[in-house]
Amino acid sequence: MKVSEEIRIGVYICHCGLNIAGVVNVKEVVEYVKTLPNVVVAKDYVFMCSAPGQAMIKEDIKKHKLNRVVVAACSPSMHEPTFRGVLSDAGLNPYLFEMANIREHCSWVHPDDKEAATEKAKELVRMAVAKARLLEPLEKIKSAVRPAVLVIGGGVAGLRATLDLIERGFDVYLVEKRSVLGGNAVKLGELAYTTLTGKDVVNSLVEKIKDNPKAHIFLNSEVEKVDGSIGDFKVTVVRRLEEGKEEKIELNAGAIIVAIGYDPYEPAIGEYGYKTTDKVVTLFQLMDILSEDGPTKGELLIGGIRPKSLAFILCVGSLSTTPNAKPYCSRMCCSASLKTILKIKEKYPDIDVYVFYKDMRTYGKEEDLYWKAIENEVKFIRFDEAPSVKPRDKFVEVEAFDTTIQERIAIPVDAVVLANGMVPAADIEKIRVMLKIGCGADGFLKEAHLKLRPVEALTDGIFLAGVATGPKNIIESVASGSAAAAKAATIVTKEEIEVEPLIARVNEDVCSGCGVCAALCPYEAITIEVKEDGKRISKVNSMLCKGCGTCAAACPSGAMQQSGFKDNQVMAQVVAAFRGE
Amino acid sequence: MKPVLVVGGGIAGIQASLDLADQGVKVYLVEKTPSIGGRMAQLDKTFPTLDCSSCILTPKMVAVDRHENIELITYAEVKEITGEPGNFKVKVLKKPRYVDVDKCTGCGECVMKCPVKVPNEFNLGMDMRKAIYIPFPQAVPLKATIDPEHCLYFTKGVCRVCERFCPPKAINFNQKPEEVELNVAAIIIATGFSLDDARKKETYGYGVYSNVYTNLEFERLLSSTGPTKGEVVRRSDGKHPKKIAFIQCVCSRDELTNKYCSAICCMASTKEAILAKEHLPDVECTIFFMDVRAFGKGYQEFFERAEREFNIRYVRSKPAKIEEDPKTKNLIITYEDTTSTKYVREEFDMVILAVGVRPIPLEGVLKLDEYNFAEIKEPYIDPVATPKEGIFVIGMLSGPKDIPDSVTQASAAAMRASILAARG
Repeated sequence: MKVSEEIRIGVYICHCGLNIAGVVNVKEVVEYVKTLPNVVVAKDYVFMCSAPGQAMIKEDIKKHKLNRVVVAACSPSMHEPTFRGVLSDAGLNPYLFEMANIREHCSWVHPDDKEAATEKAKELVRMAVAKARLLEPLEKIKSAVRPAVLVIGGGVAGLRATLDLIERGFDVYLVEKRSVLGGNAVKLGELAYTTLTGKDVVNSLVEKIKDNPKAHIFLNSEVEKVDGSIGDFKVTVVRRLEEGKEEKIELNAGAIIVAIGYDPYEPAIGEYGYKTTDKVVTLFQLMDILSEDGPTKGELLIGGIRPKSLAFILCVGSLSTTPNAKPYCSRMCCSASLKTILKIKEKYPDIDVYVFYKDMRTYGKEEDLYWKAIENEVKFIRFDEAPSVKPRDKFVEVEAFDTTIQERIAIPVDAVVLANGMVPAADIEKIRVMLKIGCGADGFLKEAHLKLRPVEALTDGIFLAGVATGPKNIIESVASGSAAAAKAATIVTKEEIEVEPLIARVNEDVCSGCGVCAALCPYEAITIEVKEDGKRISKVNSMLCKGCGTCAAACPSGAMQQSGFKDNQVMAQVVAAFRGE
Repeated sequence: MKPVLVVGGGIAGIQASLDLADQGVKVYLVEKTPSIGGRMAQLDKTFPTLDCSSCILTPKMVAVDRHENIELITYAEVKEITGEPGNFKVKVLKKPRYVDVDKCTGCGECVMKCPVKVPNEFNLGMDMRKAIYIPFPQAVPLKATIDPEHCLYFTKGVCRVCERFCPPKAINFNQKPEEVELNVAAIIIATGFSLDDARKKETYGYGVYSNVYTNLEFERLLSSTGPTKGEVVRRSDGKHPKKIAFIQCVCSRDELTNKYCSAICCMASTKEAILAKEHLPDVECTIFFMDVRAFGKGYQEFFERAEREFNIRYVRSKPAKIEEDPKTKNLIITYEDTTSTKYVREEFDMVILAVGVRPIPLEGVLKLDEYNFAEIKEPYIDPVATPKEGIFVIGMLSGPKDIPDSVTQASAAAMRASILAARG
């Protein structure tokens, strides 16, 4: 594009159904925008992101010879890629696009003042137009892809992901910190609707993996360091050897799958009588007791006796039932408890079972377990306030206010099972910091989008499987393992990957090599190079730079500029905001 | 690389197609109706983030349309599947749209001129569409379709108004059904679900009392592209409701209809009650439920927020019956509040039934359970694979599940199918 070329801007105001148009007077904004310099066309539409909305923009780019496009709609994190694609399709450089967020930044936060919201929308669009005038075309940065995947965690999710990727023809580095594969599932005993045990599931996956030359399994190993980025992560693995020695292994992978699992919630001492008597066990302990290779070889023995009556207390560690408990639902404990009860009833029909619950959450087809439990005369007692567990001489008393009969009841039982939930794995924080990925308020890893991108991390090239993102049962964890493998495959099947060019760049003529930028860069993407003539200049590694802008803000000489957010572009927005047009 | 067939263009089928196509696998995506989008296109917002459903779905629909590796075959049905993994032969019948899709621009001129009004299935019959129609504003592909059951030319041999007014001359009354044969390595079936018939629960009076709605009808009422353009008004008198009741587990967790739990309705009703409050700040919302199944990520927090921040009232009860006041068309619900063991008769002016889901299986291909859900061969090892090797099922078809689980399964099936495609 010639510098002297006339700037011709098209502006598109989205209603987002009623999300924007219910508050902002969209027609008024359109009329206002038409008065701004360089705006050739301004239009509104009910869903600008839909096919007809996109088609309208494409047509206008050609018809009105537009060379800049502004869309005023939702957050750019939602639809900037969509509209950049529209520009590309119409033959325009996709970076000649600017988005004004008049939904999250305007209509959603000002629903009570429609007039002021409309004025604010005009200002936001005016700012976007001011910046759009100064936008420059940019090209995506390409880099080669390593056709291998790193899987962190050898539980069922990590195993499934590994199996899928080796079957698809890729090398997989599977790193497991323990000395065996299988994670928590190996201790879960017989599973619902089958005589398969958790261990059988693990073995069946491991059998298919262990002799495949594509699978590189590192036991007793942990990932120590990850550098690089999507397409080429540089990974350092530490393997513990005998006699306290360890070795470091350097690997390269195009994508990473994080399947670090969970820890069972460990009740506090005294929480529901836990650890004050050997007649109180957790559900995870009970499932281990019932496993053929567990401590009692599958015999139901709690505190040395075969109980004639059992009380299960649900939501232990979940739904804020006690001060220590987590606020979230652990999802699998209702079904896991009923499954275990039915297996016990099958083997020991004379046992009386009482279930103290808050909400019975046997969702989907698992409701069948609830029907079967009722048919098997399991007695259900509903509580709002957590029951109290009182160890007596020969039995344990469980007392609760039963909300259904509106009476306080106390039931003596031989043993109590605490259906403990799932909590984030102990080393989740270490992994999160190392990979620079996010966590939610619940402490589990955060997905890129809760509904539609459930196995993707917010960092490109990193995927999440199993309970790392939140409680799941085995079936759901295994499915997410395959899903994360699919996402990794979309990267490693390509020879090269394209990344956004919205990164920092140095004007070498202006840079004095002071090093402020290098010291501040959170991604270690900047180094100071000494040229042949002795001149020191800053250098940005384009694959490591995330475009955060810290260096550009700190640069004392203005040599460091952030593409897409250059000083002159941002200043034009600021001026438009405060001085008007 | 051999192609993969995906049957069903809802969010699960869309996601599976994209994940295959992004691996370089050619995909045929076959959809029965004129547009992809499925149930999710009918939702107003989604729980627990309250994302606008269209806003997050339409980019994926457009991505399918634009993807060089995806061949979208809409308004078509799978008739026969033969062969084996790596080499399936599939017969697909493309129904005639009577519109040349290469010429149609989706301008809507024909729709405006068409004189025949037909109940609009996208809005569950709550308003009318034309005999030539585009199912909804964000439809992909954005092409008109003639419904021959109602078109005057096909029923009475007259009219042809659309043909006269169509600017690009795209109408073609002579189109015939066309059979195509596809050769694919693997098949992913994502044919989704419909709601069960709420009339089965006679004591609730759906279809008899005008102000009793299904939850999907209510989604359409909430939606700006719905029959009332987002106004929540009563069927009987067009007035805003002041007091809405939501009843959970209608045709779910019920021995007489479906014993299973439908998995999505607790959160859907919670969301709908919040949205009702956003539309009508003074409306009172009560949810009658048995257990709050807030099991997914962020769901418990969402439910607690509904109670605390939006003052949604939750009553642990399965109501016995609904009666209608013939004058006001208000609805009187008789229920036992199980947390106080009291019998109560309470009046509401709108009732929303959270109706259970039923799978829509592909006939003759899958092994089904007693409720028509597709069976999985080894759920713990390969949760998307059916007993017939090379055929995968995802989404509601293998059991009730929410959008995140459906999307996860979709990606999982894409992985499993891509392995067969790469071998072929």
